[in-house]
Amino acid sequence: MHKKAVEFKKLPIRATFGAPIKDVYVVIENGRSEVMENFRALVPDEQDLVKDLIVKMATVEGFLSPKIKYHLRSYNYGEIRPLPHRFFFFQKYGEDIVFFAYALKKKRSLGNDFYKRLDKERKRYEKEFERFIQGHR
Amino acid sequence: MKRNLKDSYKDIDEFFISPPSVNQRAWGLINDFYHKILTTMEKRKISKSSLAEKLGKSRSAVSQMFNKTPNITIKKMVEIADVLDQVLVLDIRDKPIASERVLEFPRNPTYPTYYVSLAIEAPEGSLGTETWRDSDAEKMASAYSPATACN
Repeated sequence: MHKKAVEFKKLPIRATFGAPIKDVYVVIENGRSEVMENFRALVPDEQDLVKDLIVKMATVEGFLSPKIKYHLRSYNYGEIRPLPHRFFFFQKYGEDIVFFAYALKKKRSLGNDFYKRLDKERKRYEKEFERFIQGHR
Repeated sequence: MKRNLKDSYKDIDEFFISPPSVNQRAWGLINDFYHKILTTMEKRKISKSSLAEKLGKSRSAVSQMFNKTPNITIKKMVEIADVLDQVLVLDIRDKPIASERVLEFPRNPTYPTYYVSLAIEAPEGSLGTETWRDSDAEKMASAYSPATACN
């Protein structure tokens, strides 16, 4: 049987300011998730920070934080940045947030090539996500 | 094998669904503070440079404060709120009783308890006479406070 290479795992968001208004997904490719594995590797304090940011993104309309960029430059994806970590996400259908990549950013910029490569991945995951959502809604 | 790998992320599920720790609630207060400050700045079209000028600090010092300081001091929070014609309100209260929780959050009756809140309001007679609240804080206002900011 053919296994799907890309899957999307929905994170269970606990209501804090009321019911979640957005769903949060994490990309799993070939059974592994770069985002979740790197999230797990964070120290507990960083995990608490990232969890709170993600929960707020999902439950607070228009949540703003200096640690969140919703759009990077001209790309259609954003990042959560608890320095020096970066968790990249894109938004789809206005109500879904999909985390798809991670980077450890020790220097000021990761370089244009990195962002371009990430944008290609984002496009690929977006297409997969569209299929996934059509099959689940 | 694939199933085992997926199962191995269960700890992350459990972490996300568990009630927030004291540390996460502390981050929640800091994140809520910045959300309110940034929302106020956006509404009033105040740039970071302009905020830096009002605070008598450099643009980079303000960026540093926004991006790198994990634990901003209460004094700095008051200073920032003040230059935006806002007042910082810190409140400590009893944990809400279970029936209130169910009433407020019918979809999640076991939602975490709130016992410290933080709000930013415009002082009376200031330029921003209307008390600022974000829409979600608005939902909470009837049950708790102007802006329950701790989760």
